[in-house]
Amino acid sequence: MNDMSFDIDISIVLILGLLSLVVVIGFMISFVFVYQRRQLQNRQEKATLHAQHQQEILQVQLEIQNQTLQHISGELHDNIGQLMTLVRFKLNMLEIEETITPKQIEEVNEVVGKTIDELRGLSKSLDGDFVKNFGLVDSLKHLLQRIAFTGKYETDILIEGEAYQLDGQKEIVLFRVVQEILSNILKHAKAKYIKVSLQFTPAHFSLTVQDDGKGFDYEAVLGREMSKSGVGLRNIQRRTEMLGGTCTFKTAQNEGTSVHIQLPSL
Amino acid sequence: MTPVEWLILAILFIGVVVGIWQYDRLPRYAKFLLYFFIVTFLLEVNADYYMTAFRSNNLFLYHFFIPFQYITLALFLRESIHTPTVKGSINYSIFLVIACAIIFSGFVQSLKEMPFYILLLTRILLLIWSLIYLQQLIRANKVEVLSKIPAFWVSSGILIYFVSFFQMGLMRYLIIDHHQLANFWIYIVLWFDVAFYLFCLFPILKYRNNSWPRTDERHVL
Repeated sequence: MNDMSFDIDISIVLILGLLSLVVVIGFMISFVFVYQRRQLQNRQEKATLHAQHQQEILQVQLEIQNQTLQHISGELHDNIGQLMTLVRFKLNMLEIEETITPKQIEEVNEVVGKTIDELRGLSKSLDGDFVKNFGLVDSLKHLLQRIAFTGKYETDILIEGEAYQLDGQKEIVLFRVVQEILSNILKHAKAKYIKVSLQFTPAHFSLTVQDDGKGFDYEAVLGREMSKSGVGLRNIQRRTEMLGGTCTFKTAQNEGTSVHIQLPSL
Repeated sequence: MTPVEWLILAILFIGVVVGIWQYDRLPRYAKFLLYFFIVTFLLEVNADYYMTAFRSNNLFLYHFFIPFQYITLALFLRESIHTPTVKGSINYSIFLVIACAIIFSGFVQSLKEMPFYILLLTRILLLIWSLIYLQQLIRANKVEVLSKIPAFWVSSGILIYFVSFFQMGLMRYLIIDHHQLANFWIYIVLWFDVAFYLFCLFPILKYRNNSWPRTDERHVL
């Protein structure tokens, strides 16, 4: 009887011993299985996010291209076209004049010179390499100088902290964003004073564009249909987010507008 | 000494030599793994030496070395786990183990007995930290090949380490009435230890090739 009970004890011990091993092996197999499944999910999520990001980049590129063409069209029509019309008018006047004075030639020359300056300015503003070669700060200074040159606006640029270079692509996108903001100010704000502030700190880079214009109802503009308006604001925000930053608007009717962009420094 | 015991010594020796050779290149948490190998190697060499040379009881060595084994493995897992509360708990557990080791060895268990209470405590704690680490690994939102995660190997090894302790408990039960089967059982338990040491050795050997990441930071939750 005792032998039989001992044999049962031994069997129980052996079963327990083997069972513990089976439990651990089973646990590890299940763990690997669950881990692989999670990994598959993570990979799929990453692939989806990557595809979305690529699509967004493509869309932004198309928008930038479209805006650039609109910008060229506007500049050619409003500035260069006007100046060339003036040149033509002056040349027509000279045609019917019996004697041409040096002053008249100088006048035509001056307008042609202005046209050339406008063309150069336009070329620089479109050239991404200009931003790459001269950096964001100098490109913004040049942009503001061009605006001030019209005589309709007073501009100012303020730089805080020791300037450092951001990633080349980031600088170009930021420059285009500022161009868009300035373009909005020139088109809609009826401002007289434009100020751009850049702040360089080790942790982040921030950029603020302020004007003393008529301001706008932010919520109303953003709430409009894409086809009507508000696309510009969304573009500015989306491009900033694409750079890993944030963009905030402070504005109210007749109180000017301030656009603040903040990016991590790296 | 049995061939399996020689094998264990050889694995530990390789771990120590390779670890010391690569010391400067090892990340902090892998250094704790090296300390574990050093502590265990010293323990096993001394234990075998006492047993072979003097034929005397060597179990007092286990009373002394087991807390150090726990400390090194716990610190290794603390480096791999990123939850602050768990990290804090691991720190407290080290003091707990030291205090318990002093109390158990001083007042509860003779130095001539195997320190089963402290063994049980340390292996349960290591099992808890390993399971927490494995849970963290499952939750981490990272794309990572499992076999390339050093702490995964060590945590898996610790599961086997825990089971080997369970087997030792069964062996103790067997030794009372069935000495032959107990001897056979201890032989099997030693193979569990071989598996555990190999699992721990694997990350150190991989660092030698410098093919693995130097830190485990990618497994942050």
